[in-house]
Amino acid sequence: MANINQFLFKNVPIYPLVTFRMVLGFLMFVSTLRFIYLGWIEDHYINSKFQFKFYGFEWVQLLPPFWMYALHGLMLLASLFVLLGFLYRWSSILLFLTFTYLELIDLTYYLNHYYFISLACLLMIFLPANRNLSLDAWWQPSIKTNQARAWHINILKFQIFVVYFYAGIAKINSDWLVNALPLKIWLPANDKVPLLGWLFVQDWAPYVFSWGGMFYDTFIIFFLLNARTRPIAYIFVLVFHAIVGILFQIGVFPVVMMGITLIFFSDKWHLQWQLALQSFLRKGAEILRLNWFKKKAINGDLNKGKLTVDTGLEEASMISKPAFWGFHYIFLTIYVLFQLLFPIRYVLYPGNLFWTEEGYRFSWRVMLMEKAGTATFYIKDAKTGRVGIVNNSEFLNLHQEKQMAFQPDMILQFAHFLGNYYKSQGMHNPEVRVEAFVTLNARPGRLLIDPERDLMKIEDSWVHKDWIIPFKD
Amino acid sequence: MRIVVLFLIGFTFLSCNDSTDPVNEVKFDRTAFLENYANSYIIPGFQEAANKAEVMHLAIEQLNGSSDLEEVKQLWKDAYLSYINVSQYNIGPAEEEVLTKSLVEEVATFPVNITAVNAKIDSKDFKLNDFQRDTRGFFTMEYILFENFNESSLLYLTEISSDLNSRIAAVNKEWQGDYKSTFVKNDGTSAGSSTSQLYNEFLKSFESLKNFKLGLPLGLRPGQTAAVPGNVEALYSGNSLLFAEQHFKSLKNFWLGSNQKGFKDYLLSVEGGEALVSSTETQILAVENAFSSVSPSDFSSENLDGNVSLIDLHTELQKLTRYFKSEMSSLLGIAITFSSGDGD
Repeated sequence: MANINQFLFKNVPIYPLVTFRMVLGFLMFVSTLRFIYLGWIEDHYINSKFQFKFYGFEWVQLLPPFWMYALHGLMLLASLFVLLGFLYRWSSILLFLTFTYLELIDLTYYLNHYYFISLACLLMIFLPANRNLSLDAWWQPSIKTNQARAWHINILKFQIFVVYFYAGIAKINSDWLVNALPLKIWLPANDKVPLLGWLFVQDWAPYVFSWGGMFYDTFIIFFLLNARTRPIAYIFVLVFHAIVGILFQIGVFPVVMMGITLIFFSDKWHLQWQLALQSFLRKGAEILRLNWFKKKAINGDLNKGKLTVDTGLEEASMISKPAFWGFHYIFLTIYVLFQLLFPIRYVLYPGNLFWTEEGYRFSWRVMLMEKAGTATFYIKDAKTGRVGIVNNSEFLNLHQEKQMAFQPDMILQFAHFLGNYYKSQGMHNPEVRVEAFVTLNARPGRLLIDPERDLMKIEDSWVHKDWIIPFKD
Repeated sequence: MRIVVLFLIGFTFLSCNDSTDPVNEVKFDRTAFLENYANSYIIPGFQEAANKAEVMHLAIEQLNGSSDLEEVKQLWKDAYLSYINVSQYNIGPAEEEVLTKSLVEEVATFPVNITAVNAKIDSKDFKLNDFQRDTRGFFTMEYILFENFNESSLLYLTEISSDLNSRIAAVNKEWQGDYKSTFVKNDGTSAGSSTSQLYNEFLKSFESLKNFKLGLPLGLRPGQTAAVPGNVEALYSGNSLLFAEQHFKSLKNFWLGSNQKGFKDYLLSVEGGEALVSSTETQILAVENAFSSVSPSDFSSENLDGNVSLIDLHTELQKLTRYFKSEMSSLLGIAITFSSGDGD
């Protein structure tokens, strides 16, 4: 019990939390700008005829174009405010809501990293990350403190641990380790990458990268936690994510991972860079003041407050239980258990996880398989018996069609959409069947869904999907 | 930590020694691959198409009575047949831009909007840059040559023939000039690379053969209750089968490649490629067999509805789709969209 209290309620320096807040705010700001700049608001949210829904979040709707732009504007503002620690409680709530809403609009664009960002933003709402080096603490000195409770930082470390560890153990499978697939496909395709291209075509490269990736993901957090191994572990973080960033089309995530793993650095390290930042800002402000109000400037100001920083590093051992510590126990236990158990829910389903994808999402399986499919939908008019073949691109963009064609729940959603659409066009009780040929890790394509089943008669649920044809190697 | 690092390094070397599986022994040179497509397919193809279009256009300019109409019809047919061979290369200079669509949409849209064409002919207002792409290009020319040839339509024919000729000539000129090196240099596999663009356009072209030259006119889309004879390609000259066959032949030749530097050989150099090449070749044969049982009259308005040979051809093309569409891009690791994947 004492250990748990230490782990949760010990007073610790607040600095790592402050760094995390600034990194998160900054990266969210930059990546939102990038998203807008690349024209993805139009691609994802405006020129969209159909959106795949997340199970249980069917109510999340695409808004009119103005609101899609406005939401991104709000998100930019919220991320900037989080970076600055301004109206923090509200801006962190706004950031979580805008980002999560946007992610929930179309399942096509689901990425594990987006899920991670949503979780991190959710956690940040409950963490006092604005109580140092922030605008809030600057004009409300009463909230300023150099202390936080251990759980404020440990919960974030735990979350990052979950991401890496589960990503690592997911790689322990025979395709990945024995056959070096899918890296045997992905590496040679990158033979023209400057500097490293020659490496990727070596016969041994897929094996080295497969095993290396598995070890890295599984163990990196342990080495980041240990003060002695931390510097070299962080070099591994930099090199690993740089290579992954060169290899794959994955946007800002390599930088995100490099940024958030800084939380494992020592309190002293965080304090040092924050002091450097403060003195830089103070000097900057002073120079501005000297220029603007030349007469009022007093030289002595420059040194004022410089050596009076109370670092708080010494007092960091007391335990102070909060008033409602019971609630903390309960909510933290629920959160932690959910994070530990939800990713392994696949054990409750029969069949091959990579094939059925029952329990695949929200479980940190990143860049784990090469899967692609061609799904042809046949719509039968129950009265006339006439069968028509759908041209998917009439309703879906390239990315939507690509993602849909190998994921059973998306195939089912699209089938229902088609059935309802043609019904509204005057067809009698349309029956919808699909012929979906899917290739997994370079195996010849096979049927994923029973082509005899009328998908209009099937509803999605948590129950095992018996309309998926079992995987045979 | 040091021990672990040593272990890691040791292990990785151990695993290299274990990897006796010589999958990637044949290194495929994608630069040479692109260069070969440019030199053996695209550049001579556009050269030929531009020449034929010009010959046709010069003949049309000389056309006054109906005496040499038959000769012009033949030149039109030759010009379109050679254009089919490059109709899939809507990349670079033939790509869609702000005001123009891709070359294939600009010069080969069908069915023709006869009402609008006749209105343009009557008004003598020939607007060549409006959005009515179904009032110009090869098939509007076909309509005028084969169905509605007279003095006033000749004026319009000359205009659209000149427009078509200059569009193809412009693309040809770019390929003769600097574009080839731009194309060859962009030799990665990410979205926007030359390989990805070539592949995407190949796929689009294949889909348009299957969906727009067969599926739609046959009435095979959901909600259609009968065939739509007016939607076949080359409605007025009766060349539907000839053109469809040429289209497929051109796609097949592209996939086969030449000098051991095409997509087929690229596939043979990657994991799982041999099995895919063998299934694809089997299915290509099935499509060719299906073609051989189609006769030109199957496309006529009397025979189109429920036409067994054509529906069978469509089915065989449908079976070929997955090899071209998902399996080829998956094995080659070609990115087809710019959206982020699931990162690590």
